[in-house]
Amino acid sequence: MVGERTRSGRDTAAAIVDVRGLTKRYGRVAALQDVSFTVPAGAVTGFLGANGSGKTTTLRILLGLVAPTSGSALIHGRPYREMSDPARTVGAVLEPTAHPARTGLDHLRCLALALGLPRRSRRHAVDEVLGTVELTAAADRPVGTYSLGMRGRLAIACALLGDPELLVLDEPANGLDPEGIRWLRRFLRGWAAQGRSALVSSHVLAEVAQTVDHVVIIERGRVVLAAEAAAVGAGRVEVRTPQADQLAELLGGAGAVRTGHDSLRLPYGWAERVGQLCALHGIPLVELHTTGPDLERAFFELTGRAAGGAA
Amino acid sequence: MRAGGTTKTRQHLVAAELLKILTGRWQLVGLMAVLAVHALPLLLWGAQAEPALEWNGLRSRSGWLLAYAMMFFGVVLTSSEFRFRTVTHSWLITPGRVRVLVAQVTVVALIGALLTTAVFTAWWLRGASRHGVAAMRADRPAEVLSAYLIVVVVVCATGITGAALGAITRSLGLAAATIAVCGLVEAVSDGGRFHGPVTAPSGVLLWPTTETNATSLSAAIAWAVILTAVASASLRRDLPS
Repeated sequence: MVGERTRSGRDTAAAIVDVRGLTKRYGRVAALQDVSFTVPAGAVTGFLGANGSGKTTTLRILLGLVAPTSGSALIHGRPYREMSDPARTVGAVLEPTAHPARTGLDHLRCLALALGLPRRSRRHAVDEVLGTVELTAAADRPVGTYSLGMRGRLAIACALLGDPELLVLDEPANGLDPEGIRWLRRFLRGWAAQGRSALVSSHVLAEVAQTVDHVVIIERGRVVLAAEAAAVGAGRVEVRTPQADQLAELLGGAGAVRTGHDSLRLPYGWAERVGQLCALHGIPLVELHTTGPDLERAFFELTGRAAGGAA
Repeated sequence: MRAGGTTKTRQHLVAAELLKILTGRWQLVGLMAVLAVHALPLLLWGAQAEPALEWNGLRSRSGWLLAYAMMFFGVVLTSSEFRFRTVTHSWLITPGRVRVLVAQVTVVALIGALLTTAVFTAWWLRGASRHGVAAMRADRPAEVLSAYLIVVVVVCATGITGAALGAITRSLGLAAATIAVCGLVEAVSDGGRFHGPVTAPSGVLLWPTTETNATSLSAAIAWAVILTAVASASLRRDLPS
């Protein structure tokens, strides 16, 4: 999916977020040290790191909730607190918060009012985001009765109210059950398919590996990697067909490599094109599967952590 | 993409704070309870009292309990945003944090004025029905208006002081402890009695309606202004994770 989006010509060169030389000290403790990275527009960026590595502090500085000791974190070239109507540009989920006695619907109504949405579109916007996060049926229940996963989805609904172009999600999968995590992946893919941007932090690498286009890895307050996901741990597509030669020829410059008399290996992101070509030319497919970029291996190599110890 | 932009104004923020109170259940129940507490005394008070006492006690009966209830309400309004961490939403939507505080203070003042009007009117009508309109100075409307305005100003100022304390301490428990300690210190010190942030309202409202302790009135207003300024400055503090 990542590769297709990149090949489809979407502009990933422009950065929507630009973090430069960010340092944050709490007394003698340096939470962040000279953190720099960019978030490309129109892509999902995974912000990865172990617990306590500085992800949340970075996001809080980006959103103007915490002041940096030095450096800058800009969105469209401006600090969040200097943006005239930031919630229309950035939707953020830092933690699932709401008054427990208030219903999900009322919580969103309060936010929609504070956002200054026009009266005629306020109710529509609230209904729309409730539908997007699949909470319509629970909208009239007090938030105190929600499960952790439902609160997480309500928080995403709050972030979507302003119809932003960038989503900033801090550990959005925390507390989600497997169904919730599947929903989150589906949601992020849909979000990216609309050409919008997202910055998603996580310490569970497997959660984001299938979703992100770009990764930033932070460790002990320092960025250790910022790169395209496809270039990290190089995901691949494996194909088996009795007409491997013909398929390789049709794929042309895709970088197909013969791995056996009936098998090919292609770079990550080519599965859909292979399927289309086989259907078009009547080539029988015995096997077609994608292996995602191995972010986990890259993470452990870069941070020098033992494979069981990060998450 | 949804159509239509935002037209965020101060009115929107105030309306959002009011909606939070209406939909937050306990804050609304608390306000109704304050009104209900006045019902029984309204029925029983002053049946055998002198007409002069009815007038002289008008300010204290209509304002004293309400002033401290509004102080508590103000503390709850601002500190609960930190307790439930909903302040994150408020500050993300309105990064100008002082604007959020101004909206909260405005709501406290609006509700304080509304409740004061209801309670003051009820007590005045009760006195007039027992002792006649003349006993309640209906022939001297300036005195009635002045008594009303003093109660409104003190109740609102006390509520704003509470809201500011809630924003400074960011905690209901800490704010309540601060108020208790402050009240105690003020009560035992000659200079602070009826002039500190906690006892100044009593210095105005416990006096007979025919008298006004101008220094207490000034102190109540000044503390509301000073603490709101301190609260505005304290908003620069980071919001912890």
